Amino acid sequence: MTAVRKTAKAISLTAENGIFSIEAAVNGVRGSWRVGAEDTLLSALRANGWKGVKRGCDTGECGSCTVLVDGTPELACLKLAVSAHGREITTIEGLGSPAEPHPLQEAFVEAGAVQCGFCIPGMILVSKALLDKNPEPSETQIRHALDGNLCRCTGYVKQVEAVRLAAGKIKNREVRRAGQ
Amino acid sequence: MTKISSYYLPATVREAASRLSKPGAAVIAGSTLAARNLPAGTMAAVDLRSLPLKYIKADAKGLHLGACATFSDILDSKTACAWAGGILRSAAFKVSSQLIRNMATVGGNIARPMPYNHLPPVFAALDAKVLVAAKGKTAYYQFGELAGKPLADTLGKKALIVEVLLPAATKNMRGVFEKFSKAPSMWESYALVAAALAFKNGVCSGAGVALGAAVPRVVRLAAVEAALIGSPVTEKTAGAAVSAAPDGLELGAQREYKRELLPVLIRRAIIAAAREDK
Repeated sequence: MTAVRKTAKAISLTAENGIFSIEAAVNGVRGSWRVGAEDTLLSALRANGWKGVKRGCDTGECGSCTVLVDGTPELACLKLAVSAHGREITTIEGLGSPAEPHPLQEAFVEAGAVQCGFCIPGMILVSKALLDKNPEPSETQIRHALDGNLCRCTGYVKQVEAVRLAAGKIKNREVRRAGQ
Repeated sequence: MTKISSYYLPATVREAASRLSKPGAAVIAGSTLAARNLPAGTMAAVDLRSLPLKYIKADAKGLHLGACATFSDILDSKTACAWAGGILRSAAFKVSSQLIRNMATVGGNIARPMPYNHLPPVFAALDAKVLVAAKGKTAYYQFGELAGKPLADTLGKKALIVEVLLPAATKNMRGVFEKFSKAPSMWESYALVAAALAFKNGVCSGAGVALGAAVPRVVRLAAVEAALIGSPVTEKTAGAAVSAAPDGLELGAQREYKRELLPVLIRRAIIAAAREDK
């Protein structure tokens, strides 16, 4: 167990037998997580069942392990799991479900942007952050956003198309909602 | 691999500095090096993310870059992107990927002096000052005093970078950041050049030219700067200035390649900076 002591806004966590207990929200579910002192956020998420976070290079170069940390795309392979304390983590599983996919997930399928699929969770999460910040990105802006997510199957063309398609879907959905 | 037993999120700079003074304590800021490259023997991590240091603001003194501001924060700041002809924007944008730009911080880029870091040549060329909290006080240091060395070696373990200040006089300089590499992932082949020029009536009145990555520690090319000042900058004068660069630069690995590359890259940066003035 971990002793958690808060003074003002400062936080102090102490591991016991090499295990920290942290408070974090993963895909909207807030709870306590037991993570090893040596665990990366990537290994901790996968150990807890979030297998949509992919282990690729493990050195921060491929983007397969991308997660959203408080809405910002970051590399889970570079972060210590304990650093997730107090934060909101979103993995691909948090975006949509097979029954109700997120517009980005729909668009990646419709545009034929998925081949082996290993890089796609990271690409979709990066695209989610981009569209949250900039609902109508240019092709250049999309390519810059995806510049840290490597794909060995494709030439990135279909992924760029998918993001543009998703931007349109999200806009149409918002227009429909506004009209209701 | 890291084996920490304590993890702190201090609320104030003073508390962070105090935590750092404990044996086996190390800083975590952007986390790009945290999981695999914490210093040997680290037992306690001091995470700076709760500190109010994620700011970018300009005032009469100049441009203040909080230590926890990320490269993406620089790119999101119109003021930072416009400063000194966009040299900061260029340096931030050329960092490997958006994912790293979202994580890596201004403070981390100088506290952990990796040769491939993009901001040190820019800070050197612009005569930046670094605000450091140490021993209960804060004080500005010239970036050149700290450049290329672990902060703890220079200022002791309690020291914490608070911000980097780019002097107001550099706001309207014309700056260019050039990066060259054989391949993006081969940082050993990187060469970085930051060139910032000031002009008065078409004549170069001030210059800062700094080299990074190709050398173990960032260096200002004082002889090149001196050769530029007092004349208009043309292909000819830029070429002559570059020839004033010292022969004895410590180039490390791949030095034959660097000897061919560097004069071209430095001249290119100077010419580009001068062109912007027109």
